[in-house]
Amino acid sequence: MQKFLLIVILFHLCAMQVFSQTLSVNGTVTSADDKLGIPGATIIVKSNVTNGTVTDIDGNYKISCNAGDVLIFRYVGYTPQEFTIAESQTLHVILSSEAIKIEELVVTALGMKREKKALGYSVQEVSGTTLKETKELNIINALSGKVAGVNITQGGGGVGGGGARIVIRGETSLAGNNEPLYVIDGVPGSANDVAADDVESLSVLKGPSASALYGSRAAAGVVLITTKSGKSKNEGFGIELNSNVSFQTPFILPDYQNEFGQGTGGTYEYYNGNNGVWPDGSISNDDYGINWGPKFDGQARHQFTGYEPWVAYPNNVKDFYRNGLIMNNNVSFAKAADIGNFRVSLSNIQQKGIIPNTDYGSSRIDINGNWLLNEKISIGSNLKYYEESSYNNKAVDVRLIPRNIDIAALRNYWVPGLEGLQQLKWRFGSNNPYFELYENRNEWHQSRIIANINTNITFNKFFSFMGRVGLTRGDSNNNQRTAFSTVGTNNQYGSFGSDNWIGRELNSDFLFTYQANVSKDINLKASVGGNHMRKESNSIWGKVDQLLIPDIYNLGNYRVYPKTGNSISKKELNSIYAFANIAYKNFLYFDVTSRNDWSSTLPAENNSYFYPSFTLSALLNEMIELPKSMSFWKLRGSWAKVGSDTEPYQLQNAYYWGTGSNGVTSITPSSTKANSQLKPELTSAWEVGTDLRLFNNRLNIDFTYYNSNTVNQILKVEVSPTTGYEYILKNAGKINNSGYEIMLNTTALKSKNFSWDMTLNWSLDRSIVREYDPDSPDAFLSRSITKHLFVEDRTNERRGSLYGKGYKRAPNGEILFTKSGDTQRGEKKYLGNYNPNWMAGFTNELRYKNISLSILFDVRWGGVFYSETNYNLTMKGLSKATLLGGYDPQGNYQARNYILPDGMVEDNGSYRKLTKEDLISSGLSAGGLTGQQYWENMMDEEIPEAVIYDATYLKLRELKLAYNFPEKMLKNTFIKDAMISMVVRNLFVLSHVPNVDPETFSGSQQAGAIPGYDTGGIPSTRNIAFNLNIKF
Amino acid sequence: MSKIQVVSITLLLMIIFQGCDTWEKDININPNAPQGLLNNESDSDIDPSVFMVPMLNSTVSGINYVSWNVMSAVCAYHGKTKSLSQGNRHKSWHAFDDSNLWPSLYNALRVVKNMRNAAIKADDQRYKAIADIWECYTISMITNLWGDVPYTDAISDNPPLLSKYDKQSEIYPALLEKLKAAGLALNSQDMPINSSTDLIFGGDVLKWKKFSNMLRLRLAMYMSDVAQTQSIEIISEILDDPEKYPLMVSNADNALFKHDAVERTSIFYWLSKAKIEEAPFSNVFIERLISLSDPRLPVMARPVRNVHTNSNQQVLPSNPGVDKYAGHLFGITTDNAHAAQWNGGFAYASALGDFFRKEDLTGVPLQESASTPFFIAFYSEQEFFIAEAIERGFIAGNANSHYNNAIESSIAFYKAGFDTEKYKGAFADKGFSSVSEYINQPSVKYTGGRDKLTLIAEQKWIASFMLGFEPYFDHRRTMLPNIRISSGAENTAANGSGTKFPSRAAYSDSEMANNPINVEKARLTGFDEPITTEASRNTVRMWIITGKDLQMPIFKEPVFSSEYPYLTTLSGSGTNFKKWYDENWNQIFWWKNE
Repeated sequence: MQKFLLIVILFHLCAMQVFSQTLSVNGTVTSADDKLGIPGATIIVKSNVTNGTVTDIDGNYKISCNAGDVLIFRYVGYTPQEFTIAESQTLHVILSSEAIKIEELVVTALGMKREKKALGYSVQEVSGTTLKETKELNIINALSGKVAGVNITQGGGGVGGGGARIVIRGETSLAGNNEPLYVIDGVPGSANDVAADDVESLSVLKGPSASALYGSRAAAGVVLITTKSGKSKNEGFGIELNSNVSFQTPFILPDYQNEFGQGTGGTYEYYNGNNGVWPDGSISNDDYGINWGPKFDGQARHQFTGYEPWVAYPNNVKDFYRNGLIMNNNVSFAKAADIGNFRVSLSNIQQKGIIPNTDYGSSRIDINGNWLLNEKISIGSNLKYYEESSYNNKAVDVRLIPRNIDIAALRNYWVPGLEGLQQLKWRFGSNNPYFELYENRNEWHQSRIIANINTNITFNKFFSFMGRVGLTRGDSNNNQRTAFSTVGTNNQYGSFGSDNWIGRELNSDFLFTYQANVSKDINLKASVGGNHMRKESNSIWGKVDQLLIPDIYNLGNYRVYPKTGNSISKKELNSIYAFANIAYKNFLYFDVTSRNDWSSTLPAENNSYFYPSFTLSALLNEMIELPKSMSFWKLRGSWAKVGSDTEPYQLQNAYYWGTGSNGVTSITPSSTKANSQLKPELTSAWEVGTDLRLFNNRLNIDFTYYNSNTVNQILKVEVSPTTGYEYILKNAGKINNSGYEIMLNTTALKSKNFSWDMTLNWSLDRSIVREYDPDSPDAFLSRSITKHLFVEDRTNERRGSLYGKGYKRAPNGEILFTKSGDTQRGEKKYLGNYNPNWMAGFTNELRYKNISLSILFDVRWGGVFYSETNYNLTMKGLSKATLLGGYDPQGNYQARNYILPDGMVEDNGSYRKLTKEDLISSGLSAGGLTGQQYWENMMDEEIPEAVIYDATYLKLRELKLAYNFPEKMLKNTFIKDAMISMVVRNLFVLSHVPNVDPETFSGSQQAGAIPGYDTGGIPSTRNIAFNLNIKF
Repeated sequence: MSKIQVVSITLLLMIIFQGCDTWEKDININPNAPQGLLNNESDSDIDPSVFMVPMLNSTVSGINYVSWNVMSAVCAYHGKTKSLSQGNRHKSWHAFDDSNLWPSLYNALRVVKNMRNAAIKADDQRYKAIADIWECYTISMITNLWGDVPYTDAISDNPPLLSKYDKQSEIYPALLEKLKAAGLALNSQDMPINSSTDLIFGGDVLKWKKFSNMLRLRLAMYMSDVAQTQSIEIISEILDDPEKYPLMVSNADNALFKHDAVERTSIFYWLSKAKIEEAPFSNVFIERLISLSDPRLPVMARPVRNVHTNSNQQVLPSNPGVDKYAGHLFGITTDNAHAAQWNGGFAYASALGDFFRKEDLTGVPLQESASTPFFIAFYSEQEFFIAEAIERGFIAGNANSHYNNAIESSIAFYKAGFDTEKYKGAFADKGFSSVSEYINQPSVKYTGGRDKLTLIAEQKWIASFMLGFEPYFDHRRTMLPNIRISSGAENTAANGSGTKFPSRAAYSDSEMANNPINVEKARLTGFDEPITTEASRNTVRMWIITGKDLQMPIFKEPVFSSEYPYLTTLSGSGTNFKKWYDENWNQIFWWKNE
């Protein structure tokens, strides 16, 4: 678009020429890189800057000038060249890309491509190629370790990508949702709206300065995605084919013991998983899901499989998971012509999950066209349509299944003769995992259409206009099935629920731009624009709690009357904004932006809010003489403010329709107290940074410091239920974020055939709660994670601090036991923070001829991690650690028996080690605890400290090996370019956390997600992907 | 400028100067449900009856599970096989504070306020009075459990963010006053309210009136040790004027929450079999019913599935009939593993009977158990209170007849007959043939020589099975009957109440996080000693039990292995069991040692 605008502007310029020229020069301007014509390159006469032209779409130009004039050939990103003209001639000019790539372009707010050197804030860009090769189903996961200051936490290995939590420059919102705004080709959307293959580039606008123009929705940063269009230069047919196959396996599975089986107190006898009763009619109480049963002795014993030998199935958990498979194929056609360009892309993804009978599929079409109506007007349009579906996306965790369970025997999950009515269970109180996966399916469909049309009008040399209307419409359908005989008395007849959701969002934008050289040294670009957004959704759901006829999942099939409900939501947001970019002599750049938003979700008196930003960039290398080794040195700084609104219907207390009794409905008042006085949330921030390039660009250093304050946060504050509410909406809280980001880039080696590049991203963020509630200075924000573990945001402490009880300890720090070996609960204390102290990503790229290898490590240093999976593995006697044992009175060592807890006791006010005699005097005549006693004492659910771990890890995140077929080889084929590559993700991890991947979060994908909290679910995966890319 | 420019700029200016909040006026008014701020003029008109079900349910669903799970073990009805074996049960008294009890009870108050305001708006005195009664019932539950709690702030229409805690000594009189007013307000109201949403009294306003007076009587008795004069005044006032202050007159007046069996099902229906197996009856309760040949035994409990053969190594059922009943031999400070197997565990102990939970062969509850009611107040409970008040000289009257009346109505409530197959199955020909025979047996007869307050407490203990938390409040007040605890419980004092009867529920962690200053103040000043440690949180005493000695009598814990009943995994177990049982365990049966 930029090029096109330039063409239009300069054509205009030509038309205004009134001079009579004597000489005529023509020719082609080509790029040294690809030997192709450069459209839009400018040619001006040095002595008379008003005389100039631009090259056409093929790079051809024609210009008139006087003898002796000097012509300057210029194109962004290329080294300018000058020629003195003596006579009419054909002059072919080859521009080579600038050795110092300081004029590289990045996409910034509103999709404006700007020279990086002119920016007063930090923007980091990731190329589409990177995303394409990594082929993560959730493209956000592909950014891990690649962008400084961006904290990405991957979810488990569920189908469809498993989710990711992304936080840019630390958590600025106490409310929990710190999700950035995704903008795809200028229209707000979601990360999922675009296929990895269609991404041209992805820019992360980190701070408010960069995102100020996006307003309230961008308070937590912006991820700007630019999709490919036909504008990219194409040779040949313009057809590109990408094919990818990925294999997934569980990354980390627990380290199990295989010496003891199911049961309690060393005993076990099977009862009644399958609706059977003992021949003598008796019912035993051996319905244990725990693993403190007898030692595996190979003797026959009653089990769910029959009277079978008592042996371990060491691989029962491993065998449950299957190899996941993802097939991701994309084909695109692109063409540019004089009257415009066109691109269409088709994508298809099929995934088979690592959990049996789970899958995911998506199909997309992306059409992008631009039509140059005439020299002044162009019309562009983009249409995306996609469908996603999953036959079943249920998460079933089998990691806590006892060691003696033969998982293969559960595969035929109906009791013979009772098919459809009674599942085969390994214990009374647990569902058969296969039954859950094959019968209790969650089925999900979603489709979305995203359409926009835009026009660009160039009025004259100075004025231009952009208008755009974008519409997004989506719907989704969720069906949840529960079959007959599901565990739980309310589930014996199964159930069926169906949710349908339809939503639409309309965005209308306009932008007027004025651009001129105000004086010889000053260039000005000023714009005024606006946006109108309207968002609506409607959902309707129905649920049948008990089915009449098994295996028919329909809302009509009810035993008790069905429940229904629906919900409507509407929101509008209007904005006006203006900005100016001022460049002085190509070495000082000053930007100012201002924006005012009006949101329908805020009270009338507070619904308008204004916020400005200022940024400055100075190129020292252009201003003063620097040592020769310093090829480029930029200083930058910025200040900005951004406002933010809330969700609809937060101003009045609401009631909910409850489930009534005896056919009469009921009404329940909401547990959240509304607030009719809400004010917009405001973030103000400043940042300074520098960009230094040394030794002929072999070493680049980029450093940023930022500091931001977020105030008036609209918080759903958890309050004591004694207030009559569980939550209160209010403007409260002040969070200060500050941090450093360092990017180091070096070309360690470079020769014709070999090169080695290294990139290091390092970032540190501190989010500190400066104030919570001015009305009650001692209060703090508390969110319960479990009943005994809290995230507490206390004044002047870091955001995300975990509080809970620890073990009571003796003065020397050792655990204090009672004389019977029981642990004691200490007072609630600080247990750590879930945010890292710092993060780093380190990429090495090695290239030898056509082979390239890239290795990405990332480090998360500090912070803590609460692992419920480890709690259960220990509490239930499953992990290897629970084999701990001790010596009996005869001096024989036995696993799981006679453990003397290692700690202190209090004896008449003094402290000493707990002894065997203490235990004996407490009635434990063996002088020790059994493994079950010991671990059940240690794993007191009221003492979360027991499973808090240091969250530091080092991950070999990504290893990529690629081979580019040499040009020579393809020379006589219709293939223009071909590449194969292999990408391995999650190769290994070094961490303090046993049995699970330390990188995880709980809760929903973003809002309310708590990092550093593992609740079980699906383990994360290791992916091995093979890619083939061919261009015709 | 071209035409396009002119048009565009004009458009732009129009947008700017017209202002930018041009959306439809009510776009931010939630269309999905009625609007309302409490007591606000602009509120929607809502029929107060639609709040009844959520209001009643919030309180009941808070109490029902915890009272079953914790109270039943603490008051020796249940002998837990898991988590809450005797010693542990006092350590695990904290099951209270980590439950959802506190929020459920306070959330009920939110619905109360909405119903009351809807009633005021509709000028409906009946719903307003019922809102007040339910508020008092809910608050009484809260203060009886925790002591000093937020009251005035909690019931105000605009509560502050941090509620201050009121003294229990001030909450009690306020509740009694409010209950009186509510009952009187109902005196002039006889039109029934909506019967399908009144899950307690089916729309009968007179029964609400009786319930309010019964609650006054209950609260007056609960505070009778610390505010005797006021208690006597209130009790006399009620009993002296039955016209103005009607009380319950039969089981038909019992306050029972009738689960609709669809949306709201009894816990006895939704509890899993595994959970039910954790709570067989205790042998204390079963042995007492057996020793009295009580007709409620085969109704409340079901026969054991298995019977041991070796009486030296195990305890055998003691009832004479062919259907054997036994309780779980609870009482030792053991770990879960051994508690579950003690004396054979669940298979050798009686589970809840058909009155509460009907099961198929495999232990799955039948649909009809979904409607088992939750007990809120009994006519028999009221009669026991009156008998006690007379016996203690608060009022004049015939204690004996109220006592007999109470027993008879409890037996009638359970439809426990003396000529049924079940009764014969339990007691063969050793049983009684009528209620009067039962009442006149020496252990029950009011004038039979046993301590009268013990008699009342013992029979009330039986009659109040599953009556929410009331048996716990009663026992804490009277320490009768004489429930014992094992010597091993002292080891758990660091985390629980040790050998003392637990005096209260602890303020929850979330309350300490969300209202730290006020709760800290209550911890320091609300009880007879400041709560500063884990150890004291379950033993300090609130106002209504000021000065009560909560020390329980102790029996000697068995020595691990040798004095245990036979366990396959424990060598030496069973050998000295019988000896220990005869010498120590027997003490737990207070009636044998009076």
